[in-house]
Amino acid sequence: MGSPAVVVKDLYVKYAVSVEWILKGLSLNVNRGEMLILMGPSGCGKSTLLYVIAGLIPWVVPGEVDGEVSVEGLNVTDLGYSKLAGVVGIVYQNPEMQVITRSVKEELAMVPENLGLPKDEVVSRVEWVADALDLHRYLDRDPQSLSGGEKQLIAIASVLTMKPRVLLLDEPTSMLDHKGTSLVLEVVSQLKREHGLTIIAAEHRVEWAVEVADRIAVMHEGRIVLIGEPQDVFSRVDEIEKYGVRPPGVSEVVYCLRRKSIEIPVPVRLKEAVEVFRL
Amino acid sequence: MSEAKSSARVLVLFSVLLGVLAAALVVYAFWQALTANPENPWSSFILSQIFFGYRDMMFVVGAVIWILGTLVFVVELLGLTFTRRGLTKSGTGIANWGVIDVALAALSAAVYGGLLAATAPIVIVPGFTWLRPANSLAPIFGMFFGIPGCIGAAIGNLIADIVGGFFGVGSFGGFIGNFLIAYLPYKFVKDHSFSSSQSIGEFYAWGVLIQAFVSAVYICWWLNVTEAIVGLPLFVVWGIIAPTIFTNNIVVNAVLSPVLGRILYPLVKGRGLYWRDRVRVR
Amino acid sequence: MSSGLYVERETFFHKLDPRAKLVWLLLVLVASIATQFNGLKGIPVFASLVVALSLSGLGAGLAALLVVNASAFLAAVTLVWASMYSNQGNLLFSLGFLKITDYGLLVALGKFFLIICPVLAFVVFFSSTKPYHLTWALERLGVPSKIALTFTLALNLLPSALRAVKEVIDAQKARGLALDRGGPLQRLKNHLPIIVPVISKLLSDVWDLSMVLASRFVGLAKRTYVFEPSWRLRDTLFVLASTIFYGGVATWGLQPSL
Repeated sequence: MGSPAVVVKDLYVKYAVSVEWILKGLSLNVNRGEMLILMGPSGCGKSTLLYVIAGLIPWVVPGEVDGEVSVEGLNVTDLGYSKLAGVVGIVYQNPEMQVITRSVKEELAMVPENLGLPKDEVVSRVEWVADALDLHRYLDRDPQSLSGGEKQLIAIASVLTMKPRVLLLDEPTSMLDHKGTSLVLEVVSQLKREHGLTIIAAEHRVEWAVEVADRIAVMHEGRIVLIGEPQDVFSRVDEIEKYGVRPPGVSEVVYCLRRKSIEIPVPVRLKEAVEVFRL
Repeated sequence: MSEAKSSARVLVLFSVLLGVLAAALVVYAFWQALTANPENPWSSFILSQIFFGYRDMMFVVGAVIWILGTLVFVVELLGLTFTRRGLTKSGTGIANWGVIDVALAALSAAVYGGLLAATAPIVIVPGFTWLRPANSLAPIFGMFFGIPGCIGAAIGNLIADIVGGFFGVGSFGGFIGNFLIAYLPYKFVKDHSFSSSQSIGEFYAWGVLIQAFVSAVYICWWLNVTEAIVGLPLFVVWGIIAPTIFTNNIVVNAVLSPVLGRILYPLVKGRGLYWRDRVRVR
Repeated sequence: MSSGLYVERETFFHKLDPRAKLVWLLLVLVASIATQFNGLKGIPVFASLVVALSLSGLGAGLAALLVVNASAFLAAVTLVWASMYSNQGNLLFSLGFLKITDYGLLVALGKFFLIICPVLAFVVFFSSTKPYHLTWALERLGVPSKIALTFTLALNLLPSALRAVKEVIDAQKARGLALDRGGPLQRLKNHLPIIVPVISKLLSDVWDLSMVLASRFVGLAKRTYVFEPSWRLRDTLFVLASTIFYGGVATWGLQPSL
């Protein structure tokens, strides 16, 4: 997979209003083109980690950062978000707060416009993202009339117009219904498949995570306590449950059988479970 | 030292008493005027008689307040502020604004405008409306969010005018008038927590009494000089609008703002949005 | 009522360049000022505003709605004007202390149009000008870009703010809150359970919005406006026609008639 796109070394972070460290000596490498999914209970520091990688702490959100964080060789804690255009893009949880204009076209043009790019370049980037994510039918619509999932899709597209090399997703489906979730997850899978972006996502939908993630990192109290391929991480059902992460349904069922001394391998995907039960 | 402390306490108590008394008197006086002359309460309302009767003096005072108020507005936007040592850098001007300041000002404006538009004014008697509860937020925004909060209050009022369908030349007076409603307690109240007698006392002085007079005279002076453009007769300007703004801002801010401030201050501090904490961090 | 908020339509006024609309607004103001002492001469200006409301897709009925909404205030203002000029002209009728003359009535009508016409013109302007174009126009007028951005951002966030306020009011009413219960001071206090949750929501939205603005690189460079309005022939014709019409009315209004 080549050299790491994101390097985090011994990272300690706390907000200006918090007494204790939120991240406590966290280290992590993410390779180019890799998709890493962060999992863990609320408050374990997933969002905080993404905000530091995006250069938002301490540049937008006041706080203290100790340790090393670099993205594509750039030291983000020294440079801040403003120097990371074209390097890191981030999408947040709340779709209502992320779509802030009155037309989808304007929303998509916002980032390249704010970067002061020439008009032709702005237009070409809007067209590129509309083609890439099949958004032409939305272009003339008022975002206020879109569903939560569609708004989140527009938010992702808006960030993509700066052509980031690393895409960060902070629980992008946590405020969406089933339909909206499917829409967003499908687009993220497509981005990984077709565009080879490095993606770090905080996401709690395990069934989706096992299908698309290259690696899963389980976080607990500001540290990464478990990291590896989905198969390795989710087959350790007892351990991940201890850290507040629910394993995939099929793994849970098989794990119950194993407790009753039925020795079968723990599957993490449905198709693997089918194979297991054929035995 | 203790003598100075006790005299400060007396002053604080006096401000609170004066603010509450003024609010109660205003409500009582208007009620009396309404009972005596339900067709035209303004002609019997003591404040109307004062503002309109002394309109020449009000015009002169208004000119001074308008020049000073507008100057303060411009100076603060430029990142400067008046202190005892003269004009100094404030670090809170538009050029210093980061995304958090833009977000604070825009959200304050949207919420203030939204609340002004969505909560109907309180009906005193059927067919007659008066007090606007949402006005209690302007001084709170100024004290908690600083200059972005003051700009938020100004833009919010403008938006309420646009949404209500009465935006006009007169709205420009309301723009800076509302900025001053937020600015005066922001600048002159030392402790913004609403948890000490000094904090509440200073608020009643600057955020209730002085603010109500300054905003009423600022807005009405503008309407007076633009009479030929706006079309409001002087009796309406000084006899109706001035006492309406004055009484509304006294009553609403004396009754609601300290309670709101006491509840909201810990929330604002806890989220790291109190302007002094943010400027310190910056 | 949200009469001044932008409404997405494909009308004549929506297609005009905001600069052309600003010139038109100024001409309406000038014509209203010039005809303020003779209401009859102000009628064409008012009529043109009713047409403008129709051409902007808002409907002429909005003018009536706005007048009715502010009827008590407008009635008070016009009566004061009429009584101020009760010593000039011929007495038409008297009602107690109020004497209305033909001259007083013309002035009152003129002043009524002076108040209402610019207000209607602003309603047309705001409801037919995209917030995007408004930011562009404000910046061109010399307003600092961060203030222009704050203003249009607030306008864009207003629908969700209104929705949030309505949700809180409905929820509190369902819990038994009655805003119209008690005396004036009690009614004021009844608003606390509405204001506090709305502000709490604002406080949690602030960080979200500022991070969104940061990741959209707001305020970092001089912004490119790719959907910049372009001045077309129809804008020139509109400004020309407006200048002739309102200029004519203003000239007529300034000529002594009584």
